[in-house]
Amino acid sequence: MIEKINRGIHKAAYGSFLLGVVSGISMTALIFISTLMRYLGGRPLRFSDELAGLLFLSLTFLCLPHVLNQGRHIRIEILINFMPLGIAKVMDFIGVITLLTFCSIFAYESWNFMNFSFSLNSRTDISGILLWPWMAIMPLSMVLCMLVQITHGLKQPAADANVTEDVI
Amino acid sequence: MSWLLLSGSLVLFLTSGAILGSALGLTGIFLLHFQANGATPLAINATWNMLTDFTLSAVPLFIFLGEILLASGVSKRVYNGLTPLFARIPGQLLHTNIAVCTLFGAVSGSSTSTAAAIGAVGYPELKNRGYNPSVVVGTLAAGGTLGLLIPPSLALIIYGATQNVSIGKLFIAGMLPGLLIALAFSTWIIIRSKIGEPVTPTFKERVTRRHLLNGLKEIWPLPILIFFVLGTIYMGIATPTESAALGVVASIVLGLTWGDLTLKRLWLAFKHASIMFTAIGMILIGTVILSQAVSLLGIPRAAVETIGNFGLGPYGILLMIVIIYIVLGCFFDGISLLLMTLPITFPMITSLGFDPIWFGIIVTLLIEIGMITPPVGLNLFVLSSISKNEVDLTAAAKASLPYWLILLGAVGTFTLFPNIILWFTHY
Repeated sequence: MIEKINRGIHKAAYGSFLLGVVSGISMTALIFISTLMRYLGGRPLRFSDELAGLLFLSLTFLCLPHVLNQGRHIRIEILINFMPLGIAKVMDFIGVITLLTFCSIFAYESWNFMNFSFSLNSRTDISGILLWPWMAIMPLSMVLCMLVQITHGLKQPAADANVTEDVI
Repeated sequence: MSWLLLSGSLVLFLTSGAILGSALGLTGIFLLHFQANGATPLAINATWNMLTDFTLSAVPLFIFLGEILLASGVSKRVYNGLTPLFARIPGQLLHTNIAVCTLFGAVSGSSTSTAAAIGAVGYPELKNRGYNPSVVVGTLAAGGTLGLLIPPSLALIIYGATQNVSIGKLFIAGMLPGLLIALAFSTWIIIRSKIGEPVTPTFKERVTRRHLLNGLKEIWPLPILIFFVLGTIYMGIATPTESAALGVVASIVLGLTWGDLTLKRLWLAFKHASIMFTAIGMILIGTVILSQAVSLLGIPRAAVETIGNFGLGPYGILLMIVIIYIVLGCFFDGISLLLMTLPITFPMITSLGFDPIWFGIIVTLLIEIGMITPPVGLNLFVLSSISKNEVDLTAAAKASLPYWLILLGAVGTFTLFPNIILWFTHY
């Protein structure tokens, strides 16, 4: 049962990652088309800069849980590598607590941020894009990060050396 | 009290091996909560403002660009194209490493992608031709650092966007120092190939004018890409973000028509780049929260006052900052170090009367030094793994030492003669 839930969480993180990649591609296409229209057509897209910013935010937050799951976030591991195993485990646990505390505070505060925007029905200045659905990505991403961390227990997810997904 | 909380939290979280972004962010949140009357909502405001910023969206775009070029196999063509140019110069193809890295740096914003793209092609080629493997790795590691200084540069974009400094001016300022350092690297290669044990094989092939022309014909699309990325910024046609998007589309077209890019590889390149960017994005989130807290509490101003009491003077403080960057460069990767330190060092340096554009180039140089400083010199890691550990980390670091000293010398030279950096920005 727990295995099933864990798999579900990992799948959700990957699905969110794919959405993030699509946001990044859409952002590129949008800026490209807007640039062409601005300089060649003389008619810039009214909503491009604001929408590109929102897609940029989506790219960042939607990819966070999968990158965490893959152990690809940047950490300073050099000191831990020199510590005795027992102390290293304790330090790793502190790392887990740090992440969970950060994510929970961020999720709580960003939920309030989104709620306030929802109550005001606030929109972007120029193109009038409704903001709260984009703001909702922040707490959702942080909650998913917490769930991903919980599936890894008391240890921080480590990068798998056999995964050659990154060329660089 | 703020200092105690700041340093205590950072030491605890960073030594625990916590994710850097969460460590920085939580420190910022603690400061906001305990020292700024529970102003934690500011953390979200700051994050939202930064991550919806159109200018900063150039960062993932330039990472996309670098990954697409890597997936296109363009580096191999450029390498082969430039090889005949250097066949007769002492040091021979070692110069090709520097030249190709300089050219690749003009389209890619990252030091590590430059080292990886050129290293994957250059290392096996030169090793098979009988070059000393350690020396080859040294030139590739050093050449890779040019990717971070020669515009477009991720470090300069992040510096400009987070500190409100003109990215266009930073790009203009980075060009001449980048070329001078490339020249200094090549000069060292000539000197090294003339003294001590031989590092290059005896050259037997005859290079004709036809060879040269054929080589240059191989790389004709690259200037087009450089135009899209840099020309459009310098001519005032496009902003850095727009030029990055133009560059991404141009690199896709070139990769599909001229390189080995397929749709599958393109999708993979976008996925790899998104992972790379997200790792930076998490640090961006942590940094902006910490930065918000630190500036709200006036910590940089207090730091300047405290250091001012030591009677060091502006150059003494600058020297201290340089030493701190070099020491921290041993433990942190470049972009993380940049993001972590700027909230303190930028206001400190500008309040001392130094030019923000000049400091952008100097801090990028210091980060480049970190890229080839063990134990966390990313370029050394990448190249050591490309060599399949034939050149281990220690040997790679040793081979990079002369270039490390050149970069440090450049910091000194550009401090003594800041106009080398600033001259072009006046026009």
